Amino acid sequence: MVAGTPPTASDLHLLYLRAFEKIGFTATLLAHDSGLPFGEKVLQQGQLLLSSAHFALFNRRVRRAALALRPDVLLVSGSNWYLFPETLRDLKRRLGCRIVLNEQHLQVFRPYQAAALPVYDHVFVQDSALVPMLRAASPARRVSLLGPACDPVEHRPVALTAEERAHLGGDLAYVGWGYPNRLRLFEELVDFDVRLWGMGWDESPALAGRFTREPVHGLKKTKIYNAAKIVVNLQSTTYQIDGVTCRPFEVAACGGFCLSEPKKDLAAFFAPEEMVTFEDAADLRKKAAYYLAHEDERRAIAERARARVLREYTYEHRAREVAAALGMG
Amino acid sequence: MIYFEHVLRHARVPPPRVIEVLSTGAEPWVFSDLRAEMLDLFPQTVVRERPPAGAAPEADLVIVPLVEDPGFPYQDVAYRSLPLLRALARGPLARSSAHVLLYRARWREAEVVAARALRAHVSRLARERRLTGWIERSALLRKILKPRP
Repeated sequence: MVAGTPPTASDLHLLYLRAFEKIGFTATLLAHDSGLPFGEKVLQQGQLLLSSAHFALFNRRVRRAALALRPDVLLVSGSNWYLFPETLRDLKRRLGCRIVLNEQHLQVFRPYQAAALPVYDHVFVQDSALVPMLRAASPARRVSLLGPACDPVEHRPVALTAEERAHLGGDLAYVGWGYPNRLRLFEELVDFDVRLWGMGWDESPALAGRFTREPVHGLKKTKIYNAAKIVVNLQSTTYQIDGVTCRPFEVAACGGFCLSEPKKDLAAFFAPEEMVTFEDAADLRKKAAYYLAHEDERRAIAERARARVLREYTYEHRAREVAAALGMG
Repeated sequence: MIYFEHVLRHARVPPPRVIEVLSTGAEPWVFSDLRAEMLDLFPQTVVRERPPAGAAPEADLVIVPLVEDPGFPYQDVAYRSLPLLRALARGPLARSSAHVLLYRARWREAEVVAARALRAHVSRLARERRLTGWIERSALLRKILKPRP
């Protein structure tokens, strides 16, 4: 698997790795952003990731690793940030392996990304809006939706101390980047006990005192999803059209209550009695007030969402979907 | 959880009996977050904090948190901590059989080196920094290495 291990997102590539191992594959991660060889690291630090030199070094490393490992499947997960179509074609010819893209950031429009599309045996996308686009406008052979997921070991109910509950809790929580749409939303909700975690929130003076600059990864994120009464989900306007990220799925697996913006894909994954959505800031305010005052209803919805994600939307389920689509299930 | 599990497994670190986290900064969340993560992975392990200077570690795993705020994206905060890392590489830690986990806490990235290899690793970080600085200052090099159109 070729992927990154970005600290701001979910550890989804590592979770996929674990899921593939669980269903019987031997899986290896080749990261493009950490643990880099000397040359790639220097170019990364010199802000030259899109230079010809970096492309050449990274493609050579992938080629060598694949020729040494001789995988049955080369899965490019997240997005194809740096692989040339020639590299993929060459590996397919020499190894006879299947090459698969799991596209999660709508990154298929740069020339090398678009030129690689016909090489993939299957393109999985995390946003259903991309399915007809890729089928109609590109020569990608097989395209299908691979939804977000959770991991029951990683995202789970945890016992919290009173101190943790006080520090990590609050009425409304958000873990993620303070994108402009998110800043605007939370600026209208400052009369609630709002807790914002991640980077970029200091762009808004109105949110001073509402965010903390502590990094949130791994167990701490799970604890926040456990501690907050309501976790809000508002997607990025850059990386999603109809899609959702794993946030609502992770919150649900933790037993938390998620109030999400409506998305076409979300409605396909959850019934209204499992996931509540809001239309705008006024609607979020109204629904947040209602569910804060009705803890029993909040808990019942969260329990139904948890049952659904554990039953249908774990990384193991997704890994089996990938294997089945490749005829390896 | 899975990130540290992956990093430690990849480096073939056996389950540690004792983990020591060096108190490299004043931020209270560093130790508490690391302790919680490590105990989640290794419930039987003793996790404690200690100052960077001093006697040889009794731990199997020594975590060096680097807590500076990196510029976005990817600036390696280890470059700013080279004096600390050099001191560690010259001290008793480098003669121990422990593993050292260099942990960039904010823009999360962890790497594991054997304590005895710490000196060589710090030298590599210093070379990376020198070369990166050279690239940043050289208009000619940047022109040669310019991003693809």
